[in-house]
Amino acid sequence: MAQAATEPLLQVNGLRTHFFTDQGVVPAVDGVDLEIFAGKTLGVVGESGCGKSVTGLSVMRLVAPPGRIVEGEILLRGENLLSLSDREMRDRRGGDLGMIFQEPMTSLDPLYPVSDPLIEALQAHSKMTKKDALAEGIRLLGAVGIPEPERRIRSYPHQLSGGMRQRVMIAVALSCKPAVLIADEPTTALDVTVQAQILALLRDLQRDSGTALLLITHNLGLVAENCDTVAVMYAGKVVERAPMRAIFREPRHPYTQGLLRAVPRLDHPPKQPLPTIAGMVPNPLRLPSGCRFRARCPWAIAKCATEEPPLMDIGPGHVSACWVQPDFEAPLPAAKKTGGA
Amino acid sequence: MDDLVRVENLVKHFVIGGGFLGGTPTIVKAVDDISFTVKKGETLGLVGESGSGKTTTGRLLLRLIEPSSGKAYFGDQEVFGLSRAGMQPLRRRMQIVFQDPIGSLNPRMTVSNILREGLEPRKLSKAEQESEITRLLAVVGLRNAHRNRYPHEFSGGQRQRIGIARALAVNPEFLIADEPVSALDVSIQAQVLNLLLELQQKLGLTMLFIAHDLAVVRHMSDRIAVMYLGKIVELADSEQIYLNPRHPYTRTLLEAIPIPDPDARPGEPPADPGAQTSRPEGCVFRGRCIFAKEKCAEEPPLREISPGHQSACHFAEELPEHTGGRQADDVQ
Repeated sequence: MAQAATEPLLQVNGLRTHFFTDQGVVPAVDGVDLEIFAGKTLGVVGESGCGKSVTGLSVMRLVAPPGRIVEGEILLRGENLLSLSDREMRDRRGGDLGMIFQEPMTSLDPLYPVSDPLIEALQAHSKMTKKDALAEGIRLLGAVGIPEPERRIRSYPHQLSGGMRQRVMIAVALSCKPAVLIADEPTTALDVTVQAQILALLRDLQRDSGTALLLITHNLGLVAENCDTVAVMYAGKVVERAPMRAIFREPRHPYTQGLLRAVPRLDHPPKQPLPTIAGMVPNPLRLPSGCRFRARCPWAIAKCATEEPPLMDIGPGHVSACWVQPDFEAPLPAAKKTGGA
Repeated sequence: MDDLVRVENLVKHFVIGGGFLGGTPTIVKAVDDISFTVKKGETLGLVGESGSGKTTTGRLLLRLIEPSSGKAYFGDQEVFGLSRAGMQPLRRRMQIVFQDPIGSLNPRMTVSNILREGLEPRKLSKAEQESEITRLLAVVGLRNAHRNRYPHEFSGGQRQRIGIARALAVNPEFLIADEPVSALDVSIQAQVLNLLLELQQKLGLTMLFIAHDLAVVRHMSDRIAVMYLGKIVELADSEQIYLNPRHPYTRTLLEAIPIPDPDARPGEPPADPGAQTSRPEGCVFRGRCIFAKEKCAEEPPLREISPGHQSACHFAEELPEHTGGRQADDVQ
């Protein structure tokens, strides 16, 4: 078990990553602050286009043009990753920093057996012979729950199921014992029973090696079962950040509240209409003035159109960017009529 | 008659490999002898993981693919024995909504043309067509101003609404929804699910709701059939499936689903030996089943264990009470 650290292992301050498209500038990540502690899991939740994946890619410095990190700092043990040379950054990736993506098929080269990325990753960061790296690779595949790892290490990606491929990617990411692991929707393409196995695996590894996990997901169930703290993102901004329990019990941002209510749940009565969030996300090229959520917000007041709400302290470790900060139990104001999705 | 759709001993085997290059052909039992009914006006949920055969089942009913054997009745009409021409009137009565609204809508057609094509079998006059298009758009919550736009100009949720409008164009009685919301974001998913619930109530639709997400299926369905490797392993009221699951696979599925509530279920998900690579003789689930015994080498039939509740487990009645939670003694 890793000891609870008082200093965050990774700190993201005022991160802005913008995409310079022909149509204009898309502020995909627009002033994001996050921190992750050793052995802990931070969940970043939000819907398509909220900037959660770009945040993860920014930490890895893997944002591709026309995207560019335009502002902010990303501190790993106090060292700003944004001031490192490309070469130094390459050493951090696959060293201190690991990442797993949603689609394991596209992140494994179909022309090479899975031994290849494993050996490459292992040799890149230590002076291992190929033979030792192969043996270590087999051990890692076994550790991530792949049966018959001696045989499977010679398999090509297409010979493995989606769950097995994702395990291979996790083995590759873990081969260098990253201090920080960024997992971007790691189980979205997988069956629920496989998802449960992959998350159990990540929890074990975290317990054993004190890895800090940044779990990017749209699945609030995964957040409840895996995260210590949660950041909810909307249109490029963190709108609420809190310890996991507070996000579910006392969410104070209307978007967080709307998301929680909109999820169909096993333990709710069937065939009842779900409370929805009206409308849809704003066009990132034409973001509204003030609060970016206001057009969909049942609580919006005049001030929301003129002044952008900053993240305000509302409880221990709990911040929310809303002028109203409605109580979760409070009855919603009369619904405004808005267009469909 | 109470049942709108009745499926009897439906089988679909795919043969893979074994071309002139040699190799042993493998038979994949995608759907392996399943029977069920869908009552008029109800929603039957079909839930299962990849390879369970749920999507194949939907496609067989519409004869988008042909079955290996078995029968399906739509009302009194047997579906699989019909000729192509004989199938036409039936196609108007049953429609499907697919998962991927972008892949299932012609990108070169405007919304009004997509709907006009859907309306064709009804042989309406030009004026009637136009007013039907306006009506359909309103029914699914789109604006009339949307009619001249192309699918790519819409968001995922709006495209799914177009897909639903297209399916409703022929006034079907039976709607198959195959993963209709799995590509959508949470807030948009809720809007589309509400739309389907509302349409069912307004139009008296009978639905087969196919999805991998048991929470979504339960939300939408009156009864649920749980599929595993081509078999229905349990079929019961939605409430019973959740509160009193009587097949070990249903329990595995329920326990694997993370609930968005920190107090819903303390503890970690139970260990699961994981997906099987080969299909065992006897019970299809026994390789993964924590309750498996010798008898499971014999294939358990799907049988009624209480009124309206069917399970394909030899020990359905003897399974311990299901707590809904995750407790160590569940796993033994």
